[in-house]
Amino acid sequence: MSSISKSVREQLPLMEKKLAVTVGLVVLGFLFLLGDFWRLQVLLYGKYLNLSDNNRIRLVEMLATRGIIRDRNGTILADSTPNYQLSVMPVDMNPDRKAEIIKLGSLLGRDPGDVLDRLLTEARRAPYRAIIIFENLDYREVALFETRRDSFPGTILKPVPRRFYPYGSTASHLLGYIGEISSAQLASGKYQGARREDMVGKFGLEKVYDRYLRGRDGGRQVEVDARGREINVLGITAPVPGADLTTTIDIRLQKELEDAIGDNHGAGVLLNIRTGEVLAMVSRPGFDPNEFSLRLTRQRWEEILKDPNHPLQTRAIRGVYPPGSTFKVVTAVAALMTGTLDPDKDVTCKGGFYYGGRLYHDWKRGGHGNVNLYKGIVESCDVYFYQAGEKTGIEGLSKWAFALGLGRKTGIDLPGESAGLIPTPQWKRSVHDVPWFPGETLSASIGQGYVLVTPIQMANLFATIARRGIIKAPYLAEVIVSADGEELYRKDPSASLNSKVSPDVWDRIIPALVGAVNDPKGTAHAARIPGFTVAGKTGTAQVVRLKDWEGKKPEEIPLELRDHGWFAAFAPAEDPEVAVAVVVEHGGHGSSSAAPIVGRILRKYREIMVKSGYDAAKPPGEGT
Amino acid sequence: MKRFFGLPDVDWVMLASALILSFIGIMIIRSATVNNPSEGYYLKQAYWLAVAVAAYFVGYFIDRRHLRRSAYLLYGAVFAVLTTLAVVGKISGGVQRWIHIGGLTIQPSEIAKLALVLALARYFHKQKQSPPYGLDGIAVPMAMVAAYVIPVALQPDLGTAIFFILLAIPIFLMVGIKRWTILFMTGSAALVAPFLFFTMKGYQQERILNFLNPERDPLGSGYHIVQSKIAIGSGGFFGKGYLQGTQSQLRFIPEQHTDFIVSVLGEEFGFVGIVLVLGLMLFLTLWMLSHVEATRTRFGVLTVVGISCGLAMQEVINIAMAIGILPVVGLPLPFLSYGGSSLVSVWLGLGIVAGFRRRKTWP
Repeated sequence: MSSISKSVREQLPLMEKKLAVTVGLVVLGFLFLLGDFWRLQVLLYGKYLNLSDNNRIRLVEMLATRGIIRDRNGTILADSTPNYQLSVMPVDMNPDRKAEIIKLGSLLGRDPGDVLDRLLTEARRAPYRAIIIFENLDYREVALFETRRDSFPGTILKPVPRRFYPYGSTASHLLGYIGEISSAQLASGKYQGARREDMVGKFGLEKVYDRYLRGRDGGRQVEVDARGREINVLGITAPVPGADLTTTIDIRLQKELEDAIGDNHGAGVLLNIRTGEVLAMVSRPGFDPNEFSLRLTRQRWEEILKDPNHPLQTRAIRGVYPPGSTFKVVTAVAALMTGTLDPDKDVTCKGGFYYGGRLYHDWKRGGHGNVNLYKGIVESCDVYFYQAGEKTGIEGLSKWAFALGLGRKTGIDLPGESAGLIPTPQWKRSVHDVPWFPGETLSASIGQGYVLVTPIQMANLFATIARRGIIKAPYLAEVIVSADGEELYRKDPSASLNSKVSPDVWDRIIPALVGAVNDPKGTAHAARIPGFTVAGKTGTAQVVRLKDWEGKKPEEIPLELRDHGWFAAFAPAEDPEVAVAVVVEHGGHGSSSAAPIVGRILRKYREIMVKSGYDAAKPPGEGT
Repeated sequence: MKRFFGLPDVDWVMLASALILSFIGIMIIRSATVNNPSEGYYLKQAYWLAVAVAAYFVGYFIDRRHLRRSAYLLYGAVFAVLTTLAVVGKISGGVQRWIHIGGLTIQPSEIAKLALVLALARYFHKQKQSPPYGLDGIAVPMAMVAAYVIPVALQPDLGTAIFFILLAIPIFLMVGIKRWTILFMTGSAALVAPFLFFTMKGYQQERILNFLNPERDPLGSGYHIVQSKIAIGSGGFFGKGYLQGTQSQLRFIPEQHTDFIVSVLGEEFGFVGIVLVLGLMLFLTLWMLSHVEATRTRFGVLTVVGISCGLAMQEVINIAMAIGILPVVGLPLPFLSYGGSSLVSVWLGLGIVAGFRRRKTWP
């Protein structure tokens, strides 16, 4: 550093000296550190080795309690209960770990099962991390273990919160369940602070709002003796409990709808029209989420997955069904908006419609006579809508079906929603590589053929009709409040889309839907409620072409070949509050299978409203 | 220096030392995160090393005049980013230290260290007044430092904010400051410190109090230091061996792949490993400082001194934190800690320093 150029030297007098000082300081800094490392690693080696060898200091995890999920009135739907968990710290166990676990198993009368393999691999990987052996010990087992505790070094018995769903399978698809975090979830980076064996939301609201519900685990720093027994607590970091979630569900309505659907397979959705809140949402068959709160055995998991009834499928948002006659409302909107239909002009229905050399039947073999739009909807005349659909064309039909929110997800805050299907010639070309046939437009116009909708889409369609064309996204999570009372999330229900359907179209359609329920010739008497005007539409969705079964009564047809029954409605028609859609798989006609269910849930809704001064527009979480 | 494959003379000594340190870093990161294999930290670090080496050559080949002329531009751009992050952070109520671009996360305060050195070097390069400077002479550079300190302290990233102040010291001392001015500044700092303490976030106050009295909170930051010392001390002279660090497997030490990486090194490679790494770091710093003789301008001298001393200070501070000599404020260990932004800006700085020896012509 002596050959610094002259110009610089003139510019920076004393630079060499300063540079020397700088170098000296840097060297000193490093030497000082090295000195300290010498002290730590050489002089105090024994002390620290002892601390680390005996591994005297342990961090015992204290699991955070998961946030509570409540219904709109504060009723608890998901909570936590204490669950005694027995785990082992491999490094503190007697050398023959396998024998130890078998001994422990026989003491408690439990089969170690696949715990043994897990223990042996985990123990090699992380001997200082506790491994869960048995969960959910009852008091007898706890007492048994306590008496023999000293013969099992390295075992840790502690109460951990276990997820508990007091209503069992009620609302199981909404609440979802929790389970052990998977490697994929760990790797995704979305589960900050999560570790192996942690329980996280796997399904339903538990999954969607997991980051709020989960909380943050804490721990106790303890000093242990050579046998792994705590001898001194050095400090505690308290776990931070998860935040509480208030949903839009009313558990009374939820139970009523579940009871009404009963043992049928199917789904039902009840929406608050003013906000988009889901008041009840049922998928049947269901499952008991409590089963998942304790780690499921692989065998049980396989059983659930292979169940032919698919209990884990959320039919309300994932199940796609042909909408049948409920779709006629969409056909009517499309025909009116494209100007191809005069609602007052009569069409003659003789029980069928010849088109392209083929006869398209009406469900009423004798025909409906002269039919205008009102009568067409009230009596659900197929011939009327064949003609309306044929004039409108598939392009117009699909355009307005999309505009009303079909063919795409509603945006409900649950995972795995299906978009359903609104067919277009382009879609058919790209998927099936064949052109669109005009006859297929006729099938589509009465909700058969390729058209597929989910129950949530259907309920939302009727809510949209009730709002005269304004679309809102249905939702389940209203508000999330942290353990210390801070509001972390609140749904703003004001967002909406306008489907841009003219008001005079609704003036035609809504009265006809009222007629379908209340007119003497209407198809949905079962949903009629005195003093509460219900507007709705039945639907019967063909599962297969029933050529061989024509003329047979529904009960004579094998169950799996029977039609699906639909009913969708809103009420009260004058100032709508709720919309509902129910589908009963293989239930036959919508008028006999789904409409009574809708009638029942609407009666319950009204009863609750009258009894408790329930206000549909009032946000949840404020009690009734 | 020989030409190699037609490349202009590359500083092989510096490249080799930095590469060895970076590879040691990747190895230690692997060990520190071995219980977290799904994260693939060490692989990510290896990818970042490739980017960092490219950055080295950018710094190496950039024309010195361009470097000097664009120093303020870089300073201003970084200032804009830091301020935006601080404002956004205030609005969104979260800590804002990173920018997300595509799948990448960039920590602008890392590049800010370089930008500040270059801007200060340029300022003094242009000064007509001759040293030593009084308060009037250093008012502007002090404001330049403050402009970086404030938004970063608001992020809140106390460690980096304090580091900006420390970074300016060798540059100030190099250009020369009047004795009274130094006394005045030290005095005001001592007066302002308590006031600053009360404006800190709770957890930052905790850290400082814990540092002054580690027994206060054995499970908080005091606890981490205890665990870190156990790890280092139990490594002994030769260490427990690669991937054999019991403390490191415990996950007792948080951030052991970032701020506490040296504890893993100490535990697994012992005093020998520490001597090797610290020796390499010291050698590299001295080698960088030796580039001063190749510079011909005040800008060059101050840039080389600023970058070299900045690197050395950060190394010393980080290691001193891990062994409980200084409070834990969260500064990564250059070359070793996991983090792409840190690695890239360190290597870019090396390239800039090496570039002064590239052609001994007037810039």
